[in-house]
Amino acid sequence: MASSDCRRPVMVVVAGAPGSGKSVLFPVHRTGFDHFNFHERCAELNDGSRVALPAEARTRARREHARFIAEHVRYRRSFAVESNLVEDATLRHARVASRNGFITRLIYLRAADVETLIERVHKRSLGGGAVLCPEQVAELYRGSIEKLDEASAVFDSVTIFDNSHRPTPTTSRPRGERAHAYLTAGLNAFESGRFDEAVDAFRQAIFLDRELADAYQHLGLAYERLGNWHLARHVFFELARLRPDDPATYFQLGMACFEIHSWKEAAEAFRDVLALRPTDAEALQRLGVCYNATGEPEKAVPFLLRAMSAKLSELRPGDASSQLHLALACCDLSAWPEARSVFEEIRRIRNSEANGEVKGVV
Amino acid sequence: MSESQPDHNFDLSDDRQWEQWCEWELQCGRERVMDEEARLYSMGIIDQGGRLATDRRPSETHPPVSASEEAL
Repeated sequence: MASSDCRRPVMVVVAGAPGSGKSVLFPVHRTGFDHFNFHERCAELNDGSRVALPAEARTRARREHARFIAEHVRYRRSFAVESNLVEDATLRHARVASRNGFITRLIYLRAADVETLIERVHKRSLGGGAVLCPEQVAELYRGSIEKLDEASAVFDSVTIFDNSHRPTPTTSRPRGERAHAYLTAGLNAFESGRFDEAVDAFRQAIFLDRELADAYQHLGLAYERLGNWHLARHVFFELARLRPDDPATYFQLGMACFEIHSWKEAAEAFRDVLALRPTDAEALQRLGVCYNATGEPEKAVPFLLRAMSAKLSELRPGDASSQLHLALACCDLSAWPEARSVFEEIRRIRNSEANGEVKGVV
Repeated sequence: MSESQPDHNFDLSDDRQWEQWCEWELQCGRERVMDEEARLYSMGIIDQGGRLATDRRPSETHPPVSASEEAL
């Protein structure tokens, strides 16, 4: 029902100390009444920023706030505002509104301890919110609580919610639905090449549902596209926990480790691939290269030989990369005749390719 | 500041409907809390447990406002 339909106008005050969750749990606009959020108005007057607010912005917002309430009380129009109750103005306004026939309703959000609020304000400030030092939060917390008794005698109804604890991190339906919405948004951004945006969306999806493997997978791929192999490695490591039987995940993990030259970790990931997919030519070759890189050419040789064989079976005769790494391993082992033989094989492959023979075969 | 059309059918002048609206809005609010936490997580500010991801401190280039200024 719209406010104009109400027989008596309503004044709603959403109150609590900083960090109590006023704007998130009960944003005043959700009442459907005319509303005024002092802090939002300050930010509007400061180009959208809540930090480094100039004094003029606060003064102007304060004036507008007072005028907003006075006009609504005078014309008996329902309205909603936020307050931390510390100043006397809120209770004064409520008394005047009550005398003018308003139903006055207070929603008060409390936390069990001030430390919770201090931490929330700190996190919020890091995310672009207003900056308040712990002493200020504590002072406002005490001031706000002290006013609650008096407020109870002024308002027609007082509803107190304990907001000490964050919502339980479950995969309840709304949370799961939200996670999938972020996943879809991320996939759209990824497909459009907006990888930074995709990363944000995938991370939010993972936050809401930490078992959402598709989000991990594409987050890792997005990091790859952004060239951030360290973060890609971390994500694929997490994904491997969710998909322990997926060789593709281990391969992606191996590739991320490979790119940051974390050879031993890469080798372990490629071995995991081969445990699940023994003839994976790329994994065989990469594992051989890892062994070469860690000064273990004798371990590299059998994997590179298997890689060559696998590539032949995959009809990839023009790919001489395994032979090249095999030749390097042979050099490291001072197996010169074998190295020469492999180099000759590489030359033969490349000549064939240049003459178009390989193309014909493929 | 602005006028809104309610997206609900509760008559907030009625005590019973007011209570129902509060409960309903609290549930919506919890989802907004999750979204806000997801935003902070995506910015690397908190971990999946909701704890601060690093020992970061507010920027010293933006000094806090005084408590009296904050109070309203």
